[in-house]
Amino acid sequence: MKDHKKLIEKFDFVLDNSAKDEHIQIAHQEINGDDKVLAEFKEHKILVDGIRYASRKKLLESIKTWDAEMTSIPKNRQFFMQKRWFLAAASIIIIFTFIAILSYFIRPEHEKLIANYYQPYSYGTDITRGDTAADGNDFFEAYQNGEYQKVIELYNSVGNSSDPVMTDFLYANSCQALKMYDSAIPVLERISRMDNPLAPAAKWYLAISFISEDDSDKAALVLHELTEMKSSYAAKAESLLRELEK
Amino acid sequence: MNNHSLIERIKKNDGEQVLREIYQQHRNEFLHWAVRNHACSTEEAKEVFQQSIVVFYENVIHGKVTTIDVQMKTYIFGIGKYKLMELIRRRDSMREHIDEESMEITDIYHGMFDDQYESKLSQIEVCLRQIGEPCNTILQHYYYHKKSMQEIADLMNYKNRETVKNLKYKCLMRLKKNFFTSGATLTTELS
Repeated sequence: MKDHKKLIEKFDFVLDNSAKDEHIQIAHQEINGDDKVLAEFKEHKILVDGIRYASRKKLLESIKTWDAEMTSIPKNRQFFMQKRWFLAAASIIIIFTFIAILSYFIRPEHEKLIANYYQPYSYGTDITRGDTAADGNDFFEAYQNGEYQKVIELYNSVGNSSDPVMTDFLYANSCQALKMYDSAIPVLERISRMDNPLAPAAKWYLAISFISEDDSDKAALVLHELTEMKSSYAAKAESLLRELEK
Repeated sequence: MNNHSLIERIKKNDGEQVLREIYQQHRNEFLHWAVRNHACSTEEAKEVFQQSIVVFYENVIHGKVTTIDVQMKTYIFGIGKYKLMELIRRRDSMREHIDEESMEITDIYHGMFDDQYESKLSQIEVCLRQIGEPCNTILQHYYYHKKSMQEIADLMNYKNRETVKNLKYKCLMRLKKNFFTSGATLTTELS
């Protein structure tokens, strides 16, 4: 066995290629000189090649595993990667909805009342255009079109309007629509005290302006007066008054 | 880390980790480069790159590469280029001359495994699995990874190099018995 072990070591020495050429040459000559040894060397060589072949395959398998690790994404991440745009859009919608709901609930009480009760005065419903004799006038047309800024700009150029109260009223409404309550309130107060068909409407919008300014007491007073007047605003005034007194 | 330290690490039992780092560092760039410049598919490029890493490793452990004067990337790409040309030549059945790079890029097992011979090697691979551990690992450490008896003793917690030497001999004899009694016939010629 000892001799055979030595022979195997000689074979390894030849196959290793790291020894000096002349030493390998000598070993080669010894092997080639004996048919039995040569046959055994051939057997040994194929075994060594087989071991190297298996090892090389094993290393390649390891490399393929690294590659798979590099390129594969965990299944749970895959779901998010595939649906990422959908999830991003859904998240944005949820966030905006949440903000909208939140802002509705956290905004001041008076803003909720305004949102529920305020609508700009609709010129042409209570009073027909013919009543004002202002057909074709840019001022009235601008109001009808909701161009409140233009109404304010044109207010002073209206001049001799056939219905100055209506002109003032629409001006005050335009100011209110643009949240210019300081300008709207004096005009509405003046009209509300007049003996004029627009007085109930002026009281209504005056009350709304006071609520907008968070002055509930003044608003309640005006609304109370309005409930006692015969007008289309009485019922609304009563309802708003109840809301204010909650 | 410089090339010299990388080569030292490969020799000193840290080969797999170093190869992994090199593979991950250069893989994507190689695939991109190979597909763009050598009319091959991504899969082919990937296979070539994997083989190039193996060739690089074998060149290091067999002492064919001791220093690399160029960048590691250049060296690996050089092996890859050689392998790609080989692939293209094989694919197109062309017999064009491959102008080898000035640096020594050799695949030590190149052309060794023809189909008939490879089937024998596959049988040995099966036999190697059959003889199991620790023989499988000892033989692969010694014959492929070029570990010395002492290194194997240290790696596998054996008493000394003599113990490993005896074990290695016994393992080899077991493999030989398994292979040659499994009906394999020997046709290889002594080169």
